[in-house]
Amino acid sequence: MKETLYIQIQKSIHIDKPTLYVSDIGELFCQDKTIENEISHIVLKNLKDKKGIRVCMNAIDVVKEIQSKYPNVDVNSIGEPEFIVEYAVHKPRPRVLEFAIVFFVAAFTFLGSMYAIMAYNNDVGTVEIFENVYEFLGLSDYSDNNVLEIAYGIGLALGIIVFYNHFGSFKITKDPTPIQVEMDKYQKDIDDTLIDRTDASK
Amino acid sequence: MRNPYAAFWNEGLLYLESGDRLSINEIGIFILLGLWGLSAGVLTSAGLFAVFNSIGMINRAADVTKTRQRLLLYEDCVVVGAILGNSMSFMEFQLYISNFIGLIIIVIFGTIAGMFVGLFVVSLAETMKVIPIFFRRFKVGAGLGIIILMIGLGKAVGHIIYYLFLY
Repeated sequence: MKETLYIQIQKSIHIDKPTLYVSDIGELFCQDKTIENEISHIVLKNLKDKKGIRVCMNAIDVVKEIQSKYPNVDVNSIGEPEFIVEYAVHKPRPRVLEFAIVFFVAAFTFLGSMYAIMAYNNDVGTVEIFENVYEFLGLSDYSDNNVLEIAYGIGLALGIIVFYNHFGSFKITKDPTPIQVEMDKYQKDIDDTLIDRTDASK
Repeated sequence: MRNPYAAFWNEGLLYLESGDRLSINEIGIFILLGLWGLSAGVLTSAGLFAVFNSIGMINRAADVTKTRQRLLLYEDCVVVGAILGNSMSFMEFQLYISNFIGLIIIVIFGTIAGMFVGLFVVSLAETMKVIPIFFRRFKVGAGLGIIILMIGLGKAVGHIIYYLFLY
């Protein structure tokens, strides 16, 4: 009787040993647990000389490899048709260097957004707008009190916090923040591009 | 100097330092003005930083330096930087520090602000897919790196010429 094996392949796989087993690729399911166990230990590829390089592989190669060893198993691949494997040993950087880099990027973001707000205010001329508003309401004597400017500043902070969904450890909702969504989209784009480029060059 | 807010509770008038007094009506107008300023701040800042988010500038900086786990810290830096920059646009106060330290701070701020603007413009151009469309139209095959380098150099040279000679 033919057994059916379902294999769900993920798009992006990182391993820290040079040999790639079928169990690293994704999830397996088969009614017969012994066959599932044996298949999950099949070696697909040895990435010893491709350390740090992203390798693109096809689902059909996986199916061919499994079928050549177990011809009476029906392999069904659900999930990604092409995927990327990377063999990289994660070496953490020394703490001083890590701190310096994080500090530099934090200062970059800080000073950059400071400059961006000042440039925006200068471009739209918020000082003049507020003076006009004071004059329109007949309160130009009280423009020294800076009511509008203070309220605008508080609103600025609130707007960014509402948009970015958190500040410090204070979160508004449990969704991932927009910046994390963008990062995820960017990562998916990188993976897709890598797959396309490898296909185009074959 | 008497407490300017004592008269508020007694007579419903607020005495200011300039000698004027505000009645309850004017205080009401001020409160409405404050609410208007608050909503103006919320919408403009959310819009401006939504632009920064959608072009993925901070993501790129965090990705290149391989510090993705600190992304939330960078978000907090954006908030603090925006508050400080906004208050610098409106409030006029001076820091009394020596010339040397001030010069160092100015140089650092100028460099980083320039990097930020450059990164912003190029990210915007990439989101609008300017360079890929250009390359398809003119059927340019190779030389992508040289062209991008020339774009960067051209921006820098143009900026210097504008500020030193044409301004």
